[in-house]
Amino acid sequence: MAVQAGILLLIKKAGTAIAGLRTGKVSFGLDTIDISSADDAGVRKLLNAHTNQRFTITASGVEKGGVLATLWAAPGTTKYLTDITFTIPTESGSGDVFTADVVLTAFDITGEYNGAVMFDATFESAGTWSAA
Amino acid sequence: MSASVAVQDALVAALTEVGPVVYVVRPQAANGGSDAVYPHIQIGAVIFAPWDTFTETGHDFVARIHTRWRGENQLTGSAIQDAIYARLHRTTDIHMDGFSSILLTRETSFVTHTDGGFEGICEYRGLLQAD
Repeated sequence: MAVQAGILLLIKKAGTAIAGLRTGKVSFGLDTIDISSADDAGVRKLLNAHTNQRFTITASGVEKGGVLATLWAAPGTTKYLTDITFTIPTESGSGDVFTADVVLTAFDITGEYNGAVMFDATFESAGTWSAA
Repeated sequence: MSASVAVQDALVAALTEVGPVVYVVRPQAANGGSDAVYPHIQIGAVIFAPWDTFTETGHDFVARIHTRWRGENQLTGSAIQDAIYARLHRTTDIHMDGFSSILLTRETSFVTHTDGGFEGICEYRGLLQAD
């Protein structure tokens, strides 16, 4: 099994990679349904089902172009972003490109006196997704 | 153009404005000694580290700037080092061919005695991103 380089975990909007990215992370999650009762002798029991299946993209890097910052210029500006793709690099290259709509839920800008302006952004999935 | 050449050319151009002659390689006399004019400035070692993003090339570098002078005290060289600081520290007025200069700051500075003179060494750190 070949190891994949971290820079292959690309995050794109309409086919264009987010500029300045230095770290990308995709977290998948869901909520379980707890059906524990007094009959379970103190052991948690989960239903064979789940709710709220989702993913979260966290990205950070060098601020460049101000595209994400512009979305916060006015409170009324939508943070709903369509045509987001991210690649989870695999050896086969099959089924590793995910496509979805997301909501930009957080955006941080950091500046240090001896460094560049950096950003952190969080995107939450806004519905279902596909992989190809 | 490579980052190392771009940085060297930019530093030579900026430091030439300071006044003293600027060397990349000091001229050597036939007997192996130095034919350099004093006082002078020399671009010393420039050490690069990667400062890439996923899609762009960047460099984090430290450039060593030497100032050498002869005299009874440090005043001449200190004045030159101050002029270098005024020219380079936090400047946005520097052209690096093929790259954008994000930041240039002085990190360290010291003066030492040499045979027949003084040498000041200042380290300037810079961040570059390829255009």
